[in-house]
Parts: sequence; C-alpha cells; structure tokens
Amino acid sequence: MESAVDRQEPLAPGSGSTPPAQPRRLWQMPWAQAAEKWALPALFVVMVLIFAGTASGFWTGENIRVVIGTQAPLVILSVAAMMPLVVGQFDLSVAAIAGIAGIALVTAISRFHTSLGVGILIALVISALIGLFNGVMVSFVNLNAFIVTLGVSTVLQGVAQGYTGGSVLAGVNINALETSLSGNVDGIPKGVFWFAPVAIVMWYVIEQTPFGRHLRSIGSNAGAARLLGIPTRGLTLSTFVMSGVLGGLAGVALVAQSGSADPSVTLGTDLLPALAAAFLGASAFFPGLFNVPGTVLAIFFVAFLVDGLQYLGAQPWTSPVIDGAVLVGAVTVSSLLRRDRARQ
Amino acid sequence: MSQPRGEALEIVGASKHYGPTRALRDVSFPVRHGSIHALLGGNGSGKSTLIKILAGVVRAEPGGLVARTIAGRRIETALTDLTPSASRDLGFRFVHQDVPIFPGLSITENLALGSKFERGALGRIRWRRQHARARRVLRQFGIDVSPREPVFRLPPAARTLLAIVRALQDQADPSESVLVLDEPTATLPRGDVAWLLSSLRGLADQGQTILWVSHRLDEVCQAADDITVLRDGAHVGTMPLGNAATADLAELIVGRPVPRVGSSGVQEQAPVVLEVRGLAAGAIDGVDLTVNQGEIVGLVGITGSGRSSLLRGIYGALPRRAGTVLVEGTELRAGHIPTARSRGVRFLPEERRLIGFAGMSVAMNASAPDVGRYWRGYLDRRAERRAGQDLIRQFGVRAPSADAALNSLSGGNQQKVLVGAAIRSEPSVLLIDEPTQGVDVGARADIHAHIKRAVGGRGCAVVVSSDLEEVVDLCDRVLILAGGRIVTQLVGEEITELAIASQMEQGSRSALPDLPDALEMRMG
Repeated sequence: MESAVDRQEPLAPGSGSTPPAQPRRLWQMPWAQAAEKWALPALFVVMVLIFAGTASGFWTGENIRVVIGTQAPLVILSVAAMMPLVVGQFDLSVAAIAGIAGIALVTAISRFHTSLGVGILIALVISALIGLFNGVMVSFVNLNAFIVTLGVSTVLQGVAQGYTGGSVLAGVNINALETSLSGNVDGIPKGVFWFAPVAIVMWYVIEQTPFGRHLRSIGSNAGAARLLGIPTRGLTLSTFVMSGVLGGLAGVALVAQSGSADPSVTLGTDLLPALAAAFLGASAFFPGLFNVPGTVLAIFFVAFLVDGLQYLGAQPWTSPVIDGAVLVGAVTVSSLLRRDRARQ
Repeated sequence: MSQPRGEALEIVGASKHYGPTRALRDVSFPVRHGSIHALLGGNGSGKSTLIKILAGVVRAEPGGLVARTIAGRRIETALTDLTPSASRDLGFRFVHQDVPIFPGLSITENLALGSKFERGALGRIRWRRQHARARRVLRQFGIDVSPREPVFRLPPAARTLLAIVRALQDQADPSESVLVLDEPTATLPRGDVAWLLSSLRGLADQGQTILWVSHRLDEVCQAADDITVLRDGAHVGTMPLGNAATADLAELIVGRPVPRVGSSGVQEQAPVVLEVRGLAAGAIDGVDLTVNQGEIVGLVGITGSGRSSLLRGIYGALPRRAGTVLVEGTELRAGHIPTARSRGVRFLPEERRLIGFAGMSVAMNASAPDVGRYWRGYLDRRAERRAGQDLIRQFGVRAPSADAALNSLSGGNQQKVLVGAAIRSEPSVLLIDEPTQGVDVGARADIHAHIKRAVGGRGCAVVVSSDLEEVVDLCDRVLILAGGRIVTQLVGEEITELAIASQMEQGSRSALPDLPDALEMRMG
C-alpha cells in the first residue's frame, strides 16, 4: 500500500475522498449565521428608532441618560449571574447576595463606624464567602447547583428579614457613594462608570484569557475538559466566587442608587431580569454562548423596551411580563438556533 | 444436548446489494429446531444485513424466501414481504448488543414494558397481578429472583438474560419462536459470559431455536450446535460444530489457513520513551510495557480485555492501583492528567464525544489542548483561526470555515478535527483508542500517515484498535491483551491479521475466569 508518508510532497488537502475545504472570510459567512449574530443589535436599533418616532419624550438626552444610568446595578448583577452559566451551572442566589451585601455595607458604616472603603470591602468579602460556599457545595460535594443556590438564597432572605425586621436600613455617611452613581459627567451617566469597568474586565477574563476559554470548555463538555487536564472543579468553584463578589458589588451599587439597604432585595425580584439578560445575551455576538457584550446589550434592550412602552402609556406591571417573556423567548430562540445548526 | 427435530427455519436465496456493493449473494441455509446456531463472519461479511432482512428493517431483493416450521407446519414467506410486524408474526424475536433495559425500574416493570400492563379501574396498574405474572415468567425460564428487584441490582449477564426473557415472555411454547441474538456477549465481563451461555443452552434444551451472531470464536466453540459461515456476502458453509477449534473457524471465516507464530524479542536500538511497570488500573492488572522512540505499538484484545484501561491508566484518566509510568525517564504522578500532558502525553478516547466541544468552533476545538500558546496578554484569535484553517487543510476536513461550530460538521469530519488537534501538538506519547473509527477510507490513510509522522520525530504511539487491518498497516509491534494482562507480543513480519486473530482467541480463552460467586448468589 502506498501510504501518504512515502510521498515526498506535503499532504494534498483532502487527498482522500473529500474535496478541499476553502476557509471563508467573515464577509463570506453564510448570511443566516451573520443574521443570528447581529439580530439582537439590529432589533435594538429598530426598536429605539420606532420609540423615537412614536413616543414623545422618549428620544431626549435626559431620558436616554436616566435609562442607561439606572441600569448599573442590574448590569453588574446579570454579569454575576452569567459567570456560573458559562460553566453550565446556575446561581439563583446572586440577588440575595446583593441584598446581604447592601445590608452589610450600611451596617458596617452606621453601627461599626467603619470608613466607606472598609464597609465596601466587608460587603464584598461576605459575598465572596457565600459564593465560595455555593461553589464548594456544587463542585466538591457534587450537589445540584439549582438546589444549593436556591437554598442559600432562601436562608439569606430569612437572615435579612431577621436582622432588619423587614424595614429599610437608611444609609449614614454614604454621600460619597451616592454621588458616585447619580448624575452625569460630561454628559455620560455616572452609572456607566460603574458597570463599564465590570463588563470590560469580565469580557476580558472570559474572551481573552486561557482561563476564560477553559470555563467555556467546561460549559461545553465537562468530561472532555477533564480529559484535557483542565481543573474543572476548581474553575467551577471560581465562577461561584466571582458570581458572589459581583453580586455583592451589585448590592453596593443598589445602596449607592437608593441611599439605603432594602432587605426586600434578597427576595430576588432582580434575579429573573438578570438571568433573562444572560440568556437573551447568549443569542447575540457569540450565538449559543453566554457572553458579556450580549448580556449588557440585553439589559438595555429590555430597559428601553419597558421605558418606551411606558411612554406609550403601558402600566408598570408590564415590566415583569416583559422580563418573563424575554427569558422564555430567548431560551426558545437560542435553543432552536442551536438545534438548527447541529442538523446541518 | 438437545435432540433436534427437523428444521425450525430455512433461509433460501437471500440477496441484497447497497449500490455497487453486494452485501449478500444468494445465501441459503437451514436452522435446526432447538439448536444454537452460530452465524459467523468478519466485518462486511453480510451477517448484520441478513439479520436486518429477517427483522424486516432492510428489504431483500426479490426471489428469496424464508420458511418457518411452527408446530409441524411449514410456512413460506417471500423475503420481500418481511416487515417488522410480519417478522414478529413469524416468531422472530431479536435481542441486540445494547440491551434496552431500564436499570432504575424493577424486573416486573421491565417485563411489562415489553408486553403489557395489567390494568384496573381508572387505568391503574394492578401491581399484585403484574408481579405474579412476572414471577410466572421468571419461573418458566428457571430464574430464581424476586420480580420486585430493581434491575440495576442484577449483574450484567442477568440483564441480558432479562432482555431475552422479555422478548420470549409471550409465547406459550418454545417452538413458536426463533430467538436472534446479535453479539449478546460483546459488552459482558468474561465471567458472566459462561453463565449466560449455560442459560442459552438451557433454553435450547427446552426446544428454543437460537440464531446467534458472534465474533467470539471461543464462545462459539463452547456453546454452538451448528455454525453458518458467511464471507464477503457469500455462504461459505453450514455444518455441525463437531470438534472444530477456534483456529478452524478462523480459517473458515478468513478463507486462508492461519499460520503459527511465536513472540520474539523487542527492537531496542532506539531510546525508550514510555516505560510502564506493573501498572494496575481499571481492568488492567499488572502490565509491563516499554515503547521506544519512533515506535507504534498496537494493543488488541476483546472488549473487557483492558486495552482501553491501559491507555487511560497511562494517561492518568483512571486512578492507578499499583505500578509506575515513566515518560523519557520522568515518573508521572498517578491519576494526574496535567503532569502527563506536561510531559507531552496526549490521549484520544474511543468515544469522540468525550473530547469534543460541540458548540465551540473548529478553531477553538483545535486549540483546546493548549490554548495558552495563543495568549499574549490577550487571546490571539487570528493566530488561533489560522491554526484551525491549517488543520482543516492538512486533514482534509470538510468545514465551511474554522469558525464553524464543531457540531455543524459530520461525524467523520469532527473526528478528523479531534485527531488532528491531538496529533499536531507533537506528542511524546500518543495514546489513541480507535484512531479511524467512522472516518472514510481516504481520511483513514491520511490519519495513519499523520500518526506515523507524529511519531517520526522523538515520539511514540500506543494504538488500540479492533480493526485488525489497521493494526497491521500501522503498528511495529502488537500486544495481545486478555484478562487485564499482556499475553502475547507480535513483532514485524509476524504481524498479520490471521496471527492477531488467532492469538486473540487463544488469549481470551486462557484468561477465562471462573463464574463469580456473586452471580450465583444473586441468581440462584
């Protein structure tokens, strides 16, 4: 038998029965794939244009700035919720962690008279420890993340209620924190300076480091990642710690926004919008993969949708309806797209 | 041994072609009533096509017929008229290799799912009756176990027997049906096989006709009454087994006499790359192995012989019970994949889905083994994509681009990507389980060439394959494994398909362990 090794010339492409495969450039990408990638951004632009034309008061600098600025805590929270999703795990406790972090921050400053910086540090350390607990239970005790984080979330709700008696803790000496999130700098809402660094750092971690690629690998096929020697347990644990810290940061942002720590944050009304954004975001830019730019876009997609509809006279109750519909719709669309691709 | 009373089944003039390939040419043979009739042949001999025709899932060419004799009456049916339900009406009952048994359910439930549930008012299941019915069936087949037992408590062979019982449970008399078994022992541990074979013998003695497809010649020699041999779609012969030995059967199947071979010394001029001493891991129990630079060593053996465990044990994917593994003189930490990888050991498991990242791009899959090399403070995606495109070109992968998701490619092309990714990294020790399973002929030659080239430098390879032709083409040395140990070694000119096949049979025979006590205790 004449093996290919005996030949002197390099192996011809597809010297078997397969014809040569020509690598394609981006602009030659099948339009369906491109459409999938850019559908949400395009829809976002169309939606904003429609509201700008129909809802008076929507297309004003002030309104746009308010919508962007007020989303800072939610953007951070949804990036937090997204981290475990990258490795295929759920964290349902991020909102509860945010609530606890807020309470810890306000308590540290008002009761123990710590400086603002130390108060924030304490809040983040507590959040990290809760994330660590979640991570250990999931990746080393091998428990179902859904159950663990739901349980932890419920415990935190109880603790928050018990500690505060259900009433809002007013923040003392947190003016510096409050001014850091309200208003604009050179026309840019200050909220941007909260969420943009978080989004950029987490984007960098996920997309631009081997660490992030390893997380993606685990989410895609944990068994395969293990066979490649990737420390799947440790990395899964790390996503819960990151989720905890970011959840805590979202809690700090909420305190900055409202000037107080509200124990009802732990009840998780923000959890669903955060998860919905992560899932909706997975259908844009890197279709089928949870990603930071998509998640951020999704937050603003929903925010502008709700805002525009309210300018058109929609009642406040439409907001949760939209959140829920977006979650189910996004999951449906992205799983249909995935099925379609696998069938080709 | 049963006293056969005439024919239970006769196949006359079965033919089938797929495009230009003739899978079956005018095959005719009888099967005696109450006999265990082994259907033998190599890959592509037409065994499975014949079975599929009998099952009514593949349509034969016109002209052939199947005759069944039920209660003394001969019923002839044209092969073209066989549908799944017609096949069932004729009494054909099939049990395949992958037994569709539900381990979490009880024996009663498993039996009922193959037949019917006893229903009461409001459609509820009448469990007491259902259990009684299951107990009756089990007793009829001589199995002493409570029908309430969940199936996962049964040893593997008993699950296979349960599948057989489920297939046969509705018949009033054993002569009503022909039981067709497709490699029922392929996934069973050796010890369980003997037990299952004696159960089959018991069924045959009660008058059950069994048509048994097998490639394990030693089992055939143990249990069959008659054999039919197919080769390249043609009928070679049907005969009583008599005192035939495995070597005789191998000769019938392959069509040439099997040469006698012995083992010889190892070539030792090149430096040693991989050294394994007394390794025990998984099914492997005390293996010594030395592989030199530039050498490709083949591991062959039947399923359960430990061939895959050996690869996993070396790589660290299985915990090591004993022994040491050295790569270029450095000892590898037991059960620790990163150290193995850092020494240049690469592993491709048999099931590719175990290592592929389905939703990720071809380029990402290609870089997955060492994505760190594209990191320059950021991930250099352009370089990564270029490497992905190189791989696509080198291995003739059919993919629209390196950005295409892995699961958008066909199975064979996914395989090429994954094999390519492992080979490209210039491994010191390449461990591959079934390197070309499921790829086309052209790609197969390419993959072989790439393995040889990867080993050409300073590396070596250990290849597990059940494709003997591949072993002959690829390997400098072949080790035959049985029962977790290396039993024989073939070097250079000794490596022929026939030599390997006959050594495998002898090896697996000598390593046949006794019936495990646990099995006897559970099944009575």
